[in-house]
Amino acid sequence: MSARKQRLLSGSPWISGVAALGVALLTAAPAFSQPPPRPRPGGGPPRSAPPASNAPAENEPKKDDEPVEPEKEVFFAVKGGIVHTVSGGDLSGATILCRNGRIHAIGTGVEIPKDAEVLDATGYHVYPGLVAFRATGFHGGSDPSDGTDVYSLNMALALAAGITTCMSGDTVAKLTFGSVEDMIVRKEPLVNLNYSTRSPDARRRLRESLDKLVDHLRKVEAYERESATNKNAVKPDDKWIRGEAEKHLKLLKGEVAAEISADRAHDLYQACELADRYGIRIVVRGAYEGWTMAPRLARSGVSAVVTPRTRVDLDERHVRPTGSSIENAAILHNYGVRTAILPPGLSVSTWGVVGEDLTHFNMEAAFAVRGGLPQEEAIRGITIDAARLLGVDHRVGSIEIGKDADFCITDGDLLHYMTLVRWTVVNARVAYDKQKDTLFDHIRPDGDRNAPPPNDYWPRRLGSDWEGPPLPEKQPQAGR
Amino acid sequence: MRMRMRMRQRGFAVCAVCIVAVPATGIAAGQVGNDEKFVVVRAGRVITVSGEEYAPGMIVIADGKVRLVGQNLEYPDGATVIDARGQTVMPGMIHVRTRFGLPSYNRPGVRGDLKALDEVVLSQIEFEELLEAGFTAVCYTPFGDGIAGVAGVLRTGGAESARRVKDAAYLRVDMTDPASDKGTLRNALKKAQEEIDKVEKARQEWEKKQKEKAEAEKKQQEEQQKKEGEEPKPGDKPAPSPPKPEEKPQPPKPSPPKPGDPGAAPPVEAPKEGEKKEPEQFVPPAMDPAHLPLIDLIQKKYDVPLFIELDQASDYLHAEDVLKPHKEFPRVYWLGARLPNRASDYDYVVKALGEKKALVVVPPAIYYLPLTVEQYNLAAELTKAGCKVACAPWWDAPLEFDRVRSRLADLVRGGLARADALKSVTAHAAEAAGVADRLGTIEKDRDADLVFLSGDPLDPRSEVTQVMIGGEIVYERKDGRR
Amino acid sequence: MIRQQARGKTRRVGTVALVGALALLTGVARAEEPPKLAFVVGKVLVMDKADTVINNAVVLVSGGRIEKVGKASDVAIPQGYRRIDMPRHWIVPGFVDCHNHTAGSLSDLNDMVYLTNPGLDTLNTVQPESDDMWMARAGGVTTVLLIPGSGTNISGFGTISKTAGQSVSDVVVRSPGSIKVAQAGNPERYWWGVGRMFMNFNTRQTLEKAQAYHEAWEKFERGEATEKPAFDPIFDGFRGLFRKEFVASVHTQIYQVVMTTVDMLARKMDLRTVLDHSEFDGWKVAPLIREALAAGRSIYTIQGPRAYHLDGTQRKIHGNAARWWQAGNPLLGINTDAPVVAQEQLPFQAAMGCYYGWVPYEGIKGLTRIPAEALLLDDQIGTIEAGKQAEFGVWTGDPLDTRSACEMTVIGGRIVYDANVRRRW
Repeated sequence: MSARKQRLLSGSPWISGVAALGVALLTAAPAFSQPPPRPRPGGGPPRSAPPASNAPAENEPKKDDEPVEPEKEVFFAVKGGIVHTVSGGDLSGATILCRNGRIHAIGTGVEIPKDAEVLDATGYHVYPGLVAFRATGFHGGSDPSDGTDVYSLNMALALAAGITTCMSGDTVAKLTFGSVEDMIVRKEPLVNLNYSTRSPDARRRLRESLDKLVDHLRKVEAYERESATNKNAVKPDDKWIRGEAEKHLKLLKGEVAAEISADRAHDLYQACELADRYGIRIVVRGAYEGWTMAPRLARSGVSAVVTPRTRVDLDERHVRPTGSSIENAAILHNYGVRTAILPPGLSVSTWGVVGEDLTHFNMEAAFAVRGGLPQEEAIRGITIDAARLLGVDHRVGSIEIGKDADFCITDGDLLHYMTLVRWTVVNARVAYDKQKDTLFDHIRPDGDRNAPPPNDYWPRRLGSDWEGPPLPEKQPQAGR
Repeated sequence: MRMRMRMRQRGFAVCAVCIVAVPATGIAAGQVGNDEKFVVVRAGRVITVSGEEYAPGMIVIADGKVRLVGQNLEYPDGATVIDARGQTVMPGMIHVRTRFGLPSYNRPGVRGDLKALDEVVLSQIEFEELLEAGFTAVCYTPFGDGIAGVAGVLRTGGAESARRVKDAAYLRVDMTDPASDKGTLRNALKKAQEEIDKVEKARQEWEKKQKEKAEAEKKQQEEQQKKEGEEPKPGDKPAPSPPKPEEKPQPPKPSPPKPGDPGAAPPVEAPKEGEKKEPEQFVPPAMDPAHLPLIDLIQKKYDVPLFIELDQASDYLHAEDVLKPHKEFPRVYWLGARLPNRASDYDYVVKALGEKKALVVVPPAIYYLPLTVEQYNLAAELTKAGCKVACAPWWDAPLEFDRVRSRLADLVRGGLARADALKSVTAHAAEAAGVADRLGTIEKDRDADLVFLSGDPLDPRSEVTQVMIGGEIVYERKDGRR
Repeated sequence: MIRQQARGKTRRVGTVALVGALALLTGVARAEEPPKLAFVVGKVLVMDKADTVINNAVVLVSGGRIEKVGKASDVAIPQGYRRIDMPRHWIVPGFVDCHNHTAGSLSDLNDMVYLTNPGLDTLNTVQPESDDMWMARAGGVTTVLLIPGSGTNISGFGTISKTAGQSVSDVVVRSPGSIKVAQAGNPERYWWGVGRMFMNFNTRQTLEKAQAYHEAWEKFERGEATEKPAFDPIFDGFRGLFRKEFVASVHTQIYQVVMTTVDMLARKMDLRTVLDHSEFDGWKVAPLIREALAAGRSIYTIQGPRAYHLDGTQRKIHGNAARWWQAGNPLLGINTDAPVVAQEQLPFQAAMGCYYGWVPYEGIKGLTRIPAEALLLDDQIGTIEAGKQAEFGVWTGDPLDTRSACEMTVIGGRIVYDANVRRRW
């Protein structure tokens, strides 16, 4: 980041109003393919119009005779919080103004329109909504916007963990609790490939398919060259490119990336070779031995989705380093491998054993910090970097002007174990409010560690003389 | 003639009290024809549902329709008087969503051509069970995933010819599994629009052809005139040109084939309706009968509303999402429940339903908020929010029919107003079934479908003693039977 | 190499031979005296009853014990001590897990022969220097109570074991270390028809038989009876339980079951009782426990691995530890039930307890002093005080913070884990 931008973002008092409006926080160019450009606010069609190709509304009959209503501007503002933009530093006490679901302005002097819905986050930390590279149980059906129970307990719990976007099935979708609008972010951002050394047949088939397509692309290129001069040039047949082959073609053209499940070093090597040979972008999921060959992964531009906590004991039969390492994420990062973080469990569970799934998504990033990854990078691993691997970083993953208004607003440092999510905002709508939902409202309401516990429900037959006991004396505090 | 028919019907009736009526001569109630048949009910209490309660009350019925309700009414000398002075009379209850006595099977996809009433074989169904519980009409519902068909309203007793009240009450749309049901409805709407477009296109082509023809004729005429060598007079207009589409002189509407016979050929009206001079009446191409109810709705014919079945709060949002471009469609919601332990999360959408003043059908049950022991009176909450609430038995078992009144009493104890509880099985139920103009209240000109109870309807001790349908007693409780 | 040898032996030879053979090895290992170490650190969490915290402290270790703890300005480092400078780090007592299955072979977790199996002993399954134990000390866990599974109502004796040491006798601190009782909520699966009524009857009558055996011997030993009671290998091990030399560690959860445990074992039989798990709505029993504590009974609540309970009566998530703490149960610790939760995540379990409403200092106490007391080890470990065994972790910060790492672990005065050599956790 340039020094100038740094200065702009530092939250110094001279930033105000118009100046802040001018700060376009668009930083590094997205590494992965961009889906077709979406209309931007201020000039483009209204936000309420569902995005590009995957819009269900497009299928519906359009009525020409209906009067086109002028776009109504809906403002939503989060003010007073400590804004962690993730992509460009922190702004203390800044206001984030959102217009029609997108971030419109960020700064300390941003004027909030009169009719805006205002969320006063003074004293709270505002992070971009967390992005889970993969999740199950939050959405339903093959098309999440059709099959999702938007009032499910799972979704409430995921929002309580600060998650606003995840890949469900092959769709990147938002956790729009209480709404089915604007749920889909991107369909099929990744092609799943099986390239494990354990299934040589699948590997052979994949290479064959890719070789054939490479050949096809060469022919197409030759045809294009020839057709400029020769009118009788024959266009290569592309009717056979269906199903898997079609996906592979997209891969070769660089429209999507491939996702390969690979853990051990030799599988990771294979992924690297595949990336080199065909020039495709690969995301490896698992990669617990990534730390043993991080430079190789970096050289091939392979990205990784890791679970820092993974524990696989070293295999003493090998001379080379083996097994998992808590330092995996840190080492990969040091060598420049883009890394997203996922916990061992990809859903939320309610059976009580906690800290191992998306209910505590932030804790997995904290484990990466334990292994040496800088805190900011760990947070990127559950926000912007995850979004980048999914090819949706133009919409989610950081707090930047023009991006979706998805926030995770916490009562403390995101990676601290006592931190609770106070609000989760999705599409400029408060999708989770800790004090309005019953799930966590009794745990440290307004930060009060000595708040009394809720009354228990006792079956009537046990009588009412089991009163709550008096609270213990104030305890000495340590740690924080 | 009419008298005789009635006499014949009486023979079939289950009724035991019916007394041969004598045509009235002394007419008290205004303009009444001489051959009308009068029945008078004197009751300890009359609950009209639509307005007041009269205690004691009187209902004057003429030819199966209520003529007067009130106290101390005059009636013709020869009227049959039913003495129910120890009893309470209320409108017959209506079961809005039932398969009672019908086989239940799944009809997935879009089947707007199916009518539930076509499945009904009167002799095969134990209507007595419904009468016993006080139901005078039932709305048979086609079941299945997707858009299963059209429901119809049937009386539970009375003359066979008068049993069918309404053939097309509502179009049942399943939204309990939005993952697939949403697509079904979305595609059905799309297809319906395509059908409309198809007809419109055909009409335009036809009109264009007509125009061309007319012009050709005109030219021919002119040529003929020229040939005849007569100079045309300036005032003479050329032959009347065919109407321009903009003027729309009664555009021949595509008359939908009766869904009763789905395979029927498109009605070819032109030859029948004379005008042999102009045989080029536009014959619309056949439309897919399975989509006709939706086509009608899109064409703003709102006779048959949608009956959208939901399982949980989220389904409502999904239904509204698909119907977003069709806000004006009339619709009724059935709020069923899938969650275990009588848990219901409809609380999330009660406000939205209330703001729309939606017509909602629910089982008469106290729910729990999910994951709590907090009771939730859905019917009361919906009413409070502004909805019209109808109640239908949770499942189709005689025991459950019997329980409806006591379940309603539970709802009343839990905060639902008594009047709303009574309406939920009468007036509002009639509205949900699209028969509010005939059933559901005791008012002038409504059908005399009445239930006689030994006490208050919400008192679980009170029993249905008699049931009247179309002015005739069709059920009477036999002693010992319960 | 030694590690591999030890492992091979555990697998191959029988117990008696094993203990004998390993005694030799131990002799070799013991020959070397623990080193003299001087830790210069930023903070020492003493975890004593006065809740002492010493900043900028020095901890002197020699002969396997803590020699001196104090402010750096007050404690001079004598000659001959290896000085370990970690000026920003914290020294925290080694964590004690009261419910562990990974210090032994997992394949011998549940010998479900009878519904109660008195006489079985986990000592026979101890596996020193396994990868699990490696990870345990990488996570600052130094002492574990290895207990059998909860497949039957009484499944055998537990063994208190260190997480480092090359032989069984090296690692075993006390055997038997506890008797494992599974009150309910697993033994039902033993056979159909087994329910709480029978299980409680069976547990009670087994313990009563053991008690009768113990009392008969007591009488004889006091000279009150002349006839020597017959030796019974099944019940002989229980004598320590009734002498209160070790505890009953009880698999118990759900308030009704916890209530039974408190009533049967603590109140009526007056055993030293450790409530493991204590999950679901077990906290509702807290008043009963307070009452029993006031009457002089010993009950420790060691909560885990379920950290919260989703309350189906009011759609709330209750932190189990938080609710126990809020209900005024002072003797509250945390367990992992490893491998249900990996052993090294013991402090993370406490952190999760704090997320759901507990408080951090209590959390650390629940990993150190409280479980040490619960297992009757408080004269040896659990705090950083002169005279106690040198058993602690050197942390980069608050040990509950997931981001903090244990840089060094000391057991018996030896550095058994050093992240600079190889970081494991």
